[in-house]
Amino acid sequence: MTKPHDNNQPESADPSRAYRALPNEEPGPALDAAILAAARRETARPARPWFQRWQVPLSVAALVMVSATLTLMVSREERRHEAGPLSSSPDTVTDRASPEPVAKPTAPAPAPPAEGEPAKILKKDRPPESASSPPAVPAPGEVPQAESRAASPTPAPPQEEDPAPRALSKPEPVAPEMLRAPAAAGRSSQELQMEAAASPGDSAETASPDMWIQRILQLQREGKITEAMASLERFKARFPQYSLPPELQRTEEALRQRGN
Amino acid sequence: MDAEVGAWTPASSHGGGSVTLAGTMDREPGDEELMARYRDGDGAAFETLYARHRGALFRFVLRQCPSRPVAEELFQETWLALIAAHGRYQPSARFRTYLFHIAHNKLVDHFRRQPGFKLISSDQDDCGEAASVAADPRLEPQRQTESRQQGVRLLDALARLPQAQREVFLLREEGGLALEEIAQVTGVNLDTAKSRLRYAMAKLRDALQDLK
Repeated sequence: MTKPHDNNQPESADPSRAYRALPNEEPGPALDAAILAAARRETARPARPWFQRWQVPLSVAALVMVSATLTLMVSREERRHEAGPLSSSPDTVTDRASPEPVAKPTAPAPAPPAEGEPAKILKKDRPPESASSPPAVPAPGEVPQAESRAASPTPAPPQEEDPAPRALSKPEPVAPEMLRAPAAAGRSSQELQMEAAASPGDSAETASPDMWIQRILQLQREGKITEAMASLERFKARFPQYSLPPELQRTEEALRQRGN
Repeated sequence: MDAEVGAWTPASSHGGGSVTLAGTMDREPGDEELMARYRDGDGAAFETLYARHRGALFRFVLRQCPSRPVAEELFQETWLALIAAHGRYQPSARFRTYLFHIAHNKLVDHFRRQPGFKLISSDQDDCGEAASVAADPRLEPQRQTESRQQGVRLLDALARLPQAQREVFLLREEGGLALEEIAQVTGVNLDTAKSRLRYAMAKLRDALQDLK
């Protein structure tokens, strides 16, 4: 039976001495040659410069950085687009009795104007009205009549006197669904701004929606109600999803009630 | 094998390399230095390394294999593995420990591929159930033809040791590793390595004493 050795240091001379007395067996020359040849093959490979060794890690790092940057840029753009139409009025549905799925009030959709030139269509020849007459708020379904040029101090470009739009007017009232139908659904505020800038018309109407609203408010404060309403109608036709300021919302509601 | 007085460091080479006093002009490069040179493209450094350790490593593998062809194959695989990994070599341990650790892994892989292999746990080091080399019937005729010298009996006794004990003994004798390094190579704690070596020495001593 085998007994464990009592020494903590299990070194015994006998087995070790006997082992060291054994002949030293060694590998054959063929085996040596094969191993040394393999070693030489490794050294014969051209050494990779340091930048090649770091190629993969640096590529991965660059890819991660580019992806992160693009992700951030896309998310910022999306946030900017979402915040654009909501910038004018944070509380939008308080004055509206009718339920609206979207917080932003949608402008009633008048008769569909020609693409690209709503100002021309809406501003047409109509019975001359002076600026001092009571605000002739057109019916929601009717194409709003543009005020006479003589009464308006607004430097309106001649393109607005387009006789064509009369044919597009619809005397019947517009259904509430049409009023709320967003004509520019899905379009970003940036696209709307670009369209506003590209369309002819009043200089304020060609600028950003915010400037156009300010122009309408100015007309309203100046007592040019008809002109303000006409401009408002054009604005709503172009930017149906734009949130109107409260003062314009009240005016719009009054127009709708009068039209009904 | 023992360190001489002077600049002995754990990283000094063992076996083929000479340990000299610090400051001597003809200091031979240590194993770790040679391996680092080989990593950096110095083929001659590998040849020196190979010459230093080929014998001990071969015998370490041979004493644990049933036949010489198998031993040569595992011996070559060990060096090829070292060559393949030379670009990633970092001297975190002694080179010899690193080399014998590769050989240990190759042997374990070989044993596991053998039918009927039983992995011996640490609490069975002194039992007789082991994948003993001597249990291989192919070895018996070879053993019977050898002269009955002490070395032969020792080899026979060594072959009959449990594999774990045999390996520890060979790591000690051929590898010249300390018990801590043996524990590291075999993947056991220090106490287990001590126990295995103790049992191995006792059994070999008993086998040699039977001759007397």
